[in-house]
Amino acid sequence: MANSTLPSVIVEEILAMLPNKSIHRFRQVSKSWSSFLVSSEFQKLRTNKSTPAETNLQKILQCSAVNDGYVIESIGCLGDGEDPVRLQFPTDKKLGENDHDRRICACGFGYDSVADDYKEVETTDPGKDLEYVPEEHELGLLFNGAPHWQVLIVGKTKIIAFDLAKEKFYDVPVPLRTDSALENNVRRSERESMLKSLDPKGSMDKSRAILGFSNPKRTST
Amino acid sequence: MSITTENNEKMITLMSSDGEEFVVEEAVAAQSQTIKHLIEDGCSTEGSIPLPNVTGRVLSEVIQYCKKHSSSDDKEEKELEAWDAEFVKAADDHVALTDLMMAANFLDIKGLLDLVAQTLANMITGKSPEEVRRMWNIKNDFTPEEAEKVRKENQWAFE
Repeated sequence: MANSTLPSVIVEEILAMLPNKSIHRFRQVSKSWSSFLVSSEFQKLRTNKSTPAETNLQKILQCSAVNDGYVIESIGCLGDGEDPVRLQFPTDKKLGENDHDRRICACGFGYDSVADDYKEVETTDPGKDLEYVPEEHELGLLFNGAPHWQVLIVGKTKIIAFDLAKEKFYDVPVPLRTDSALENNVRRSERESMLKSLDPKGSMDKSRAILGFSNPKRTST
Repeated sequence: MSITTENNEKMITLMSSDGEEFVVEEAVAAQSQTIKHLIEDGCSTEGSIPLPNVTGRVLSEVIQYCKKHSSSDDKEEKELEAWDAEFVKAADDHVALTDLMMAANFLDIKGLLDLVAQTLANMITGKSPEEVRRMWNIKNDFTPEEAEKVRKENQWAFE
């Protein structure tokens, strides 16, 4: 950002205050502006600078940079169970023809610290062994940076999580007694104790955390 | 030069790049992290603190800001916000604001830096890339092909 009248540190501070649209437009100003505006360094600066959130989405982006624990709460606020709000990010990717017909089984959202980017997870092919898949658009419960879902595989209740960095699903060990605990008439306290085993630090808001395991009836085959 | 006032407030002398001297209370000057550290390191005990990057005109504005913000801890936040708004309005144009921002950056006064950055950002938000280049003498170093590519990628931002 070599410029005799405007040091780069000043430019960066100003650009971090701009709304999205201006940022895209100003990629045309010069090569140095363009490369700075797409850098991860800029994204970080912007996240740190964000003024009191005007939208829920901003709140999520802001919170997730600080503490994953808060993200859950924000997502819970967004999705009302019936119709979770899809998080949209401006990308250059165009929708393919088939994209409109996809049935999305589960979706999740999280921060990949390796790629330093936010990722949205959509599952369309649950795999042949999976008897129960999260209901349509069921929002994954996020903690430790990974969205988690409750599933039923070969008659057994399991918890699967998605590693955002490796982009792979993995099993999370289920504590004892949870097979029954996850059945239809599951008591709230039991569900909470299961969540506690997933979240030993207890940083999650319990009432929000339950959202990720909503509608237990669907777990029966 | 360390002077003490009647109410025992330690005074600090700041010297601008053009040789202008400003005597201010230490609490006011310490709003600047840069000056605060200089004071802690004992640089203020002899003579004045030289600020080679800041002109007298800009320094007087900065001191105005620091005075207001060091004295208004218990005042209402709203009143301070209104004062800030008037303060940046008085700075007049983007050249004066840019000078002020560079001083805030050098002196490490975060509140002032953010205030001026936000003001300048608001000023350029709706402008075209060409208008922004003209404001700060930025050279358009894209080839026509590159410019067209970037324009296409960010088309929606022009609508």
